[in-house]
Amino acid sequence: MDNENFVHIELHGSADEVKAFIEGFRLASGEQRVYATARENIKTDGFFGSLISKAQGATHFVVPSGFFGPLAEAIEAVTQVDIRVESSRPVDYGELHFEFRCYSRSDGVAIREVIETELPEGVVLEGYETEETIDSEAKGSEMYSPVHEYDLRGKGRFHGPIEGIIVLGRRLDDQDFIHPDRIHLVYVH
Amino acid sequence: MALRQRGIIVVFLMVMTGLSVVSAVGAQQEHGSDPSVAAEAVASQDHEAVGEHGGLDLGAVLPLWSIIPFVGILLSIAVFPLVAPHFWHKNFPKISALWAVVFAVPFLWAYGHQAMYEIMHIYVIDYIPFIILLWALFTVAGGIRIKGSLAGTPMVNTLLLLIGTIIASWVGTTGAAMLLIRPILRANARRAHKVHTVVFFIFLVANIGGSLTPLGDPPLFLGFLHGVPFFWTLSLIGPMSLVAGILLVTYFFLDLMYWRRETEAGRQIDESEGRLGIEGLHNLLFLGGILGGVILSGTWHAGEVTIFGVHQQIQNLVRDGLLIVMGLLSMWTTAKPTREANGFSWFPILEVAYLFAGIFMTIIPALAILKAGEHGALAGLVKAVTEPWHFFWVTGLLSSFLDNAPTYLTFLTTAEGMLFPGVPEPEVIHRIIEEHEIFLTAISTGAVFMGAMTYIGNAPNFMVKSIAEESGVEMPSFFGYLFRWSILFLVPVFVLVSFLFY
Repeated sequence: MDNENFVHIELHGSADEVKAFIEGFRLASGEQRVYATARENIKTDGFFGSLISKAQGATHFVVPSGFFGPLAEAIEAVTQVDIRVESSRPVDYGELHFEFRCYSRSDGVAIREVIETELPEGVVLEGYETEETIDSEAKGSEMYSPVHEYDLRGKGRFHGPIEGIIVLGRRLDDQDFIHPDRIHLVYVH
Repeated sequence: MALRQRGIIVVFLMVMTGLSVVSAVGAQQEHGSDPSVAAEAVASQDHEAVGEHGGLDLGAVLPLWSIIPFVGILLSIAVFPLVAPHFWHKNFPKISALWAVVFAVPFLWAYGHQAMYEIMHIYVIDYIPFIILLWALFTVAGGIRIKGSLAGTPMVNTLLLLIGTIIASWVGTTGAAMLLIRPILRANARRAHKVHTVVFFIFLVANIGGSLTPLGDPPLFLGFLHGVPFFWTLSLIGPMSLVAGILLVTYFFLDLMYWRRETEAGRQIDESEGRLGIEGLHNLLFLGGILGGVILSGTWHAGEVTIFGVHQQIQNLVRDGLLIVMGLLSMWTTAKPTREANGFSWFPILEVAYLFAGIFMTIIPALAILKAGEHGALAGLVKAVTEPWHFFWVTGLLSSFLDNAPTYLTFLTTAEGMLFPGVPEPEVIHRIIEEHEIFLTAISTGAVFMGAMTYIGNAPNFMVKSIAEESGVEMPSFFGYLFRWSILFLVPVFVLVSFLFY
């Protein structure tokens, strides 16, 4: 995974045309690392900002800066479709907050493995807290007073290169009991 | 834990016994033992306030606030597991006892002998047989185990839900849930999408499947204890088949959609469990014994005996004895590893015993007031709920958020008070069935079907959720279950039932 700079771009135009254009350009260039923010659960605006942005026909991507230059030139040159680059902001790093809670030791081990091991290069785990509660009185099934014998809960934040954060976001999404927030972009000042 | 719980039971019984003695003495001092004093007390009330035993018609004189402990215990059961689960887990016997005492002390103080009679009546006629049946079904069903590997395909999953729906009426919803939840979780262990399977399991096996016999769901057994014939519940097969059929077909296509999204690894069968088989199959004999005992008590008339001043039918005592024998035989003849593999413990039945001890104590004023119909403090409710579809929805919606057994009893009594005020049970039940059967159908289906609406609607719901979570299924939250599943899949079907049947 290169430590290349990434850019958050906002394109305006018909969403289908924008996506088709980006996909075509990506295939032509051979670049794999083009991330649609909606698909990768990357936060680009607040709730109302997102609604307004969508109503204005905005589509957001995070792309390598080396990809963005030629893309912007191609968009300038295109005449058949109405697409324009509304904005572009270089991304410094990404952040991903998460929480989890599970009720069996085997799920706890699996969750810890996902969170604590094999982090992408440059990604740091911060503010990581776990709380393990074992209540031997709660062993077995209950009908009216359900509590679990084993209860592991935790929360924390990943911080690092946006590409690594996106990889982690996908990993957490695939895991039951972990609830990742949307990825937060921090821009270069 | 067990010792502490036993201690709480002993303390609870001692308090109740002490109160009864105190109240009896107090009542004697206050009124003397002369029946004319009681007659004078009755005469001082409205003529409408004379009850069926010649004493005060408690339902006509009890104030509305006397049902506060009943509302309190039902809300405690509904709210505490959600907001303070560990506190509730450790203290629910005390909280149940507290609500019971909050009602019993002033009740005994104010109404002396008659109050004592009402308390004894509900414990002898309702509570003890109710607990014995649940204990026997729980013990016997907990001795049967389905072992081995199953493929979690849409066809197999749907078949398991269908089997669970059918057997729930015969082994009880708790028994069927206990029997099948682990096999279905094992079958789907490798699948990424399994929440919908557990949710539909709660809908069908833990609730709707229990509609057809009094063994199926606690509300129906309470109805049976109050005079609803054993086989009458089979008449619910129309609405039950419609709801179960729609839900099973919906589930099949939903599961098929998710199955197509599974990876190859998710579709693999876990062979580690070995060949499919059933352990403890001999428990079916004991199940037959339970069924026979319950049917016997509904068909045989062997006279009656008096227990603590309450008339109890001999055939009911024979039934309870038979049920206890069936449960004990199951305990003695079932291999311990079979129960252990089922995750069997006595805790769920202790929960029922503690909480329903409080519920049956505190429900006394609510039932009495509702039985008084338009002469009671809940006349407004009686006047407002008049049509069969009213009963279906009001019983159902309250059963969604409060336990469905006491809710059923409450609205059965409301219907009795509305349709035949002053007519005693079981005659009133027979008259309802003969002349207004649709009301009983609406109350029964409302209570049983809509127990599936939330985790707190029916006792096995939470148990299934808890077992699923410990097996790695991330179940929806209380509101997630309600809004993303029940309202979406159940409410439209219930609206259809309401239009077609009521």
